[in-house]
Amino acid sequence: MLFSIVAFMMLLVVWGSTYFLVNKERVAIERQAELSVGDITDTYEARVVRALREIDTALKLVRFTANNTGHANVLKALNEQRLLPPALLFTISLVDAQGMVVESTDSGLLGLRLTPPLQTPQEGDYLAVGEVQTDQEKQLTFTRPLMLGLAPTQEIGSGWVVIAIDANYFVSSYEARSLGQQGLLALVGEGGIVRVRRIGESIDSGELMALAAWQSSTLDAVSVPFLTHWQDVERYTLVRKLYDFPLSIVVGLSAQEQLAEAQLLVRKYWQRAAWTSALLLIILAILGRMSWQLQRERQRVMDERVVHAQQVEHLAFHDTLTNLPNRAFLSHLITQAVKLGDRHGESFALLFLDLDRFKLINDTLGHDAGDHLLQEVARRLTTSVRESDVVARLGGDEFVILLSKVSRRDQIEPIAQKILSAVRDPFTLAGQECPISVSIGVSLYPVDGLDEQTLMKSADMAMYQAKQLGKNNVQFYTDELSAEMDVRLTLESGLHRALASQEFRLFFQSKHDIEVGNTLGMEALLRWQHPTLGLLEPAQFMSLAEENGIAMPIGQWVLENACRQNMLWQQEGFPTLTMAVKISALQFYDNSFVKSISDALTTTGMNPRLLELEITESMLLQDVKRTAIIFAELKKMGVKIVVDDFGTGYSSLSDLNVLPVDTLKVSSSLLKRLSGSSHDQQLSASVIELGKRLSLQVFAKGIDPREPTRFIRSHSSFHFHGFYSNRPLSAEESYQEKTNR
Amino acid sequence: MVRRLIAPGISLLFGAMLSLNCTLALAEVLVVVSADAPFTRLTSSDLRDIYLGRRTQIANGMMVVPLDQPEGTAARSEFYTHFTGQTPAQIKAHWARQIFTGRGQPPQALANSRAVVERLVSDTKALGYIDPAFLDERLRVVTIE
Repeated sequence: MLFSIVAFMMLLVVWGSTYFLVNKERVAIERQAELSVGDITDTYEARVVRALREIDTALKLVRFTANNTGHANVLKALNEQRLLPPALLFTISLVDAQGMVVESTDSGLLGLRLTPPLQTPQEGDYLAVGEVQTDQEKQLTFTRPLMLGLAPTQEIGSGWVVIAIDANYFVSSYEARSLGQQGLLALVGEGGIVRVRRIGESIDSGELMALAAWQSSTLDAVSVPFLTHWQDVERYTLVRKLYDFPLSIVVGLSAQEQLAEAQLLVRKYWQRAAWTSALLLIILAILGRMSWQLQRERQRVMDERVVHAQQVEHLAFHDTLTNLPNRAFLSHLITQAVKLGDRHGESFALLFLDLDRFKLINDTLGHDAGDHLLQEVARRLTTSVRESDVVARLGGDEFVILLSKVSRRDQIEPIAQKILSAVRDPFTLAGQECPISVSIGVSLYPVDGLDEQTLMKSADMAMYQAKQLGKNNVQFYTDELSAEMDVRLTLESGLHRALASQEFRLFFQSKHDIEVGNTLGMEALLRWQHPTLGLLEPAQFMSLAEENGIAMPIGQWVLENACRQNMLWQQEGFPTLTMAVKISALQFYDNSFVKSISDALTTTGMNPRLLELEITESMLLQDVKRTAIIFAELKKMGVKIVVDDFGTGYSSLSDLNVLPVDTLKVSSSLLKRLSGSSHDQQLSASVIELGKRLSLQVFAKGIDPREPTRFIRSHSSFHFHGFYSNRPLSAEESYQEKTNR
Repeated sequence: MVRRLIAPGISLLFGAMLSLNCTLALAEVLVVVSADAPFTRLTSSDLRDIYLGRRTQIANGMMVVPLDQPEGTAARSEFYTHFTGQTPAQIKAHWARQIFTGRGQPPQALANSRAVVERLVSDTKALGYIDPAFLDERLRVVTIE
């Protein structure tokens, strides 16, 4: 658009200036022609006048000489004195009154008879101009009378002097260089008769020129050229009447010839304008095209930038592995959903998902397999929910699904089940089928939270609960859950300082002989004296302690303190008692287990034979070979081994036979069954009997030590070696009791 | 008429002779100067220029005055035809223009060869052409190169 305007303007300038130049050139040529006509006329006039003067002078000289010397040999005498014009061009003759040539520079004329000049006045002097046609040329004649003035009475026409000149002489200064082929030089007599005229190479005479009409058409015909139209040719013309002679000169320049040059120039100008225009258009077209290309290139770069920006934005808000929205984007979406919910009362749900056993898969099958699994899970999750729902990946194996426009559990439950079953479909990873499941926690807006953070926390809690409840299930957030969590958090934070601030206590249960009922030993039980929650049992905090990695130090603390307490009692002077300590699976399978036992014994100085380690049935069967090795070492030290809760698990009897166990503690549930149906009684009795047959001591668990006789009476047929009290006492209480005995 | 027919023939013959280096031996006119004249040779272009009024001096700065013969004489037409290559009409037109424009006067025309000889004898600057019959010891033929 811009270029077309520029092009139009430039073309306008080009053609406008060309028009201007052409016009100027035309005017200049006309002016030049007029000036040339003036110059040529001036020169021509001067030459004609000089030539005529010379002729007249010659006439007058001949007449004077003739009148003074008589008429004999006048011309001869003058010629010898070189006073006459060259005979080559000028023929001078003396003619008598009768018209007879009496003397001439051309001897061939002698004796010829000439007619007198046409316009001969009867008296006085005159200069007559006439023409003679000879066989070769046209001549102009100039005649003056031979006035023999002495005798006025004599005939006036007593003769005359004639000079005849080739008419060409007067137009011999014609130059094609300045006058061209159609220029005009003319000598015109009175009445407009052309005496001689030359146009190019053509010389002629006798025509008529309308000098009077030409001159009257302009104010100053002498110096200002005017246009004439004579014999079909237009000319810039000047006419000069010659002073003192009956003649005029006419000079003309052909308008056509003069303008031909201009026409040529004009054509050249128009051609140049055309070429310039074409060039201009081509250049502008090229520029236009380049500009267009530039613009297109810019557009392309802009487009690329936009695409790039979009990619960057996508990267910033999406997870690269699964191409799902990432945490930042999810946060934004939840905030939006909260805003919408706040305004329109729309509820929504957050599903917090965590893959079960993902770490195991990642560790065993490698990260590539893990990545594949995550991608596949992402795909399954996406296909399990509506198009309008959002599936996002928080990182690791954590996903969040934002379900819009749901408000009740019964709306969410089917979706959650669908997700569970979709994830449960077997995966094939690295060539092997790989079972996978997911735990889901759900929070609802606005019931479970009014902002992103709360909702995410709630869903996370629910998910944790689902994990606790055996994974592969869905749990909804409840306020109770929250309270539980609070307790858990309180415990978790308290655990870390419990050891340092000596909040752990040991309680003791006594071990009694069946027959006398006297005390054989003590069993140490761990308690946590929590500053706000009161006395806590191991079941309430040990799993947390394990998760937080402080179960081992606590176990060690129990071991050491139990031994120390036992030593204290010995020092107080009480009878020597055994000390039983419960050992967790974690402790038992730790590499430094045996060393920790010996350390505790060394530190406290307790006799190893007094130490009884209580191990559950299930624990000892986890890895029988390893257990056997550990047992052997313990035996070497002299430490006794007690199997706790015997009869609840499914002990492999052959294994039990192999292991050097000292004592069996029969669980209270088994004892209950002993008083149940006859079938139960028989089964339980067989188990107890089996223990005895393996030559082990068998003790009953959870008996009230104040009423031992009742137990003995009811279970006398089973021949227990002894029993454990069901009343844990603090160290001080135990001391009291012992003292009372 | 007869003269006009002969002239080109002579001209042709003359040209042929020139090419054979037999200068002027059979020419109808002779270019001559006084025996006392300080120069005896001229180039043909010098000769032409002198007679057409284009110069009045020759190379060494000497003044030369050309002498002519009347129009219509055999010697004149012979001379101009041979030495300037122009017809009498052309010569006349040339002088008409020269005179009219005030640029010169034609050489002085003397009545005949005899008159030319008389003038040459008395004027060492003069240059003329004559019928060979009028050649005598007071004159010297100018060699035209």
